[in-house]
Amino acid sequence: MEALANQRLTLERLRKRITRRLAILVNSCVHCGLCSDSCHYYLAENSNRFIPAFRTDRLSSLFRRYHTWLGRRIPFWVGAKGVEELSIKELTDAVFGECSMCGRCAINCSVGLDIGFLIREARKILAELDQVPGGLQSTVDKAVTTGNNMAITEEELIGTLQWLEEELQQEVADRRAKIPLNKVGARVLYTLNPREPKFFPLSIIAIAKIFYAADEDWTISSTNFDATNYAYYSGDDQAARTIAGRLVEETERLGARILAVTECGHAYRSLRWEAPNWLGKRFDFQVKSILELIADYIRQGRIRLDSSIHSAPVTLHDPCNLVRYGGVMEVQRYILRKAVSNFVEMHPNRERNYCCGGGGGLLSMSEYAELRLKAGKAKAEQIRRTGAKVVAAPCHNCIDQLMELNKKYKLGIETKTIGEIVADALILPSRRVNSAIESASKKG
Amino acid sequence: MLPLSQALSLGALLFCIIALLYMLLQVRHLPHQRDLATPRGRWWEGIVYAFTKALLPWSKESSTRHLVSYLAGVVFHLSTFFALFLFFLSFWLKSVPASLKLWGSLGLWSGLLCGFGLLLKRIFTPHLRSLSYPDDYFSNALVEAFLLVSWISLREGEFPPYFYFIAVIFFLYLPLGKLRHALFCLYARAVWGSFFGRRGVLSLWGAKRTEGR
Repeated sequence: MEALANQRLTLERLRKRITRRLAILVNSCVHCGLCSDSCHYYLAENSNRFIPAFRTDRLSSLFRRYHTWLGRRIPFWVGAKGVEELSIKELTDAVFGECSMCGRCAINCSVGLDIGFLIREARKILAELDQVPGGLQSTVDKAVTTGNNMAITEEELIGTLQWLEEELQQEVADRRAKIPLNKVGARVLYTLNPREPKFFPLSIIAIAKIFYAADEDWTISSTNFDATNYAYYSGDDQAARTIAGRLVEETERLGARILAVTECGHAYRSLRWEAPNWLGKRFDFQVKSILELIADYIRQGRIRLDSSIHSAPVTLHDPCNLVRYGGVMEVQRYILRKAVSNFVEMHPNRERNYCCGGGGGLLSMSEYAELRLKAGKAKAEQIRRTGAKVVAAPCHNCIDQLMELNKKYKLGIETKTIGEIVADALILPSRRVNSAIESASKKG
Repeated sequence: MLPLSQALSLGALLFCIIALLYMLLQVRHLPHQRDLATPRGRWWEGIVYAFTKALLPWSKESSTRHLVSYLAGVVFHLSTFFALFLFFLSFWLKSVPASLKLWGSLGLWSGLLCGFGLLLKRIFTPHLRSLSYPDDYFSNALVEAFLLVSWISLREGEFPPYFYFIAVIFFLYLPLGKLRHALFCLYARAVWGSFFGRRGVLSLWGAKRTEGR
C-alpha cells in the first residue's frame, strides 16, 4: 500500500519536475559511455553502476516511460522503466551515496550534458519523497531550525569570537585589531562555515588578520553567519531558499556592499549562483569569495606578502563548486604565487580537476563513508604525484575529506586554507613601517 | 509526377520535420528558470566555445582518452550528414559526377566502417553494453543501412527505390528513438555552453574571467 502511494507520488513529482532544461538533457544522452572515466567513483571501483550516464539513466528511463511515444508503447525497446520498476533505495544510493555532484562528467560529456544538474533533479524528487539520507537531512534541519548547521548559539559564537579577537590582538600586537560584530554600514559582511568556530578557529583568525592588514571595513553577523547550504545538496529548494534568504536579508539589513563567502565551495555556489534564482530576485550587493577579496588586496597593494615563509612545495586543490561550477579559477593561483615560493600545480586542474570526494553532502552521510574514501583515490594519487608537502584547499568540506585521504593513503601532507597560508605570509602594517624606516636609514 | 518511393520518402521527411518541430515546441513550453545571478562570463562565448573548441579532440579528457572512438563518432556523423545531402541531391541529380562518386564513396565507406566499429564496441564492451537498449543498436544499424544504400547508389550512378525506402524508415524512426538526439544534442550543447559561459568557466581565448571589482 505504502509502495503504491510512493509510486504515485514519484510519478506526480516527476510530472511536476519536468523543466525545459531537464527535458533537453534526458532526450540527448547517446549512451556513448565516454563519460565513464571522468568519474572518480568509476576510476576507483571500475563498476558499471558508477558510469555517470548509467546513474542518470534511472531518471531518464522514467522520463522515457511516461513522456515518449515509444517508451509508452514498447518500453523495453528504449529502456523505459515505470515507477513500479524503480527501486527507491537504489536511486537514493545512486544519486546521494555514489555521486558528489562534482560535474566533472558534465565538463567531459561528449554531447555536453550537465549530469550534475540531472543528479540534483533526482535528489529533488527524493527529497519530496522524504528519502534524503538521515545525516544530510538532519544537517539541513539544524540549519533551518537554529540558523546554522551546527546549532551554534549566538552566545557561543560571540564567546568564541571574543576569544579569537584577543588572540588576534596578541598576534598583531595591536589592541585596535577587532572582529567587528553586527556593524551596520560595514563594506564587507563576512560569513563562516560553522566548522570554523567549532573546530578550525585558526582560519577565522587568519581572515581577521588579513582584514586587519588590509584595513578593511568588515563585520560578522552573530545570528546569520552560516554560509553553507546543505539544502542545495539535499535537493530541498524550500529549505535552500530559507537558508540563503536569511543571509541575504542580513546583508541588506546591515547595508553591506559585499557578501564575502568563506572558503567553502558549495556555499559560494549557493550564494553566488543559486540564491538569486531560489529567491527570485537580483541582489543589490556583490557576492564574492573571500579569495577574490584577498586577490584584490594584493593587487591594490593593501596587503604585502613574504613568500619566503612558505618554502616547502605547496599544491592547490580546486573545489568543484567553487571552480567548475563557480568560475573562481585564477585568483587562488594568483594569491598562492604571491604567498608561497614553491607552488606546484596538480594535473589536471581548474575545471578539469578531480573531485576529492567530499562534496555532494557526502561528509554528512556516514553510511557512504567507506565508498567516499575509496572514491578519493584519484585525488590522492594526484596529490602524491606533485610531491607537495602542503595542500591548499579553499573549502572546509574538501579539507575534511583531504585530511581523511591523507590518513588512508598515507600522503604525509598538511592541508590548509588559502587564508591561513596568506595570513602566515603577511607583512603586517607595523612591520611594513619598520622595514620602510630600516630601508630609509640604510639608504640615508 | 514523382515515383512512389520518392514521394513516400518526402512524406516521411515531412513527418520527421513536423514531429521534431512539435517536440521542440513542447520543450519550449516547459517551465524554464531564468538565471538571475549576475554573470561572470558571456553566455554567447560559451555557446561559441561549445560548437567550436569543445569539439576539438584534445579539448575534453573524454575525447583524448578515447580518441579512436571519438574520431570514429565524428566520421560516422559527418558521413550521415553527407548521406542526407545525397538524399536531397538525388531529386535533382540526373547523373552522378565522377568526382562525387570517388570522394563520396570514400566518405561513406569511412562512415560505414566507423559506425560498424562503434556498433561492435557497443556489443562487446561490457560497460557500454550495460548502458545500451535495443534502440541503441537499432539506431546504429539503421544509419549504417542508410549509408550503405547511399554508397551503392553512388556506385551505380543512380538512386534505386530501396534507397528511398531505407530513407523512409530512417525519417520515420528519427523522431521516435535515440536518433532524435540529432535535434536535442544541438540544443543541449547550446545550453551547456551558455551555462558554463555565463559562469566564466568556458572561455574562447583561454583567459578565465575574474569578477569585476
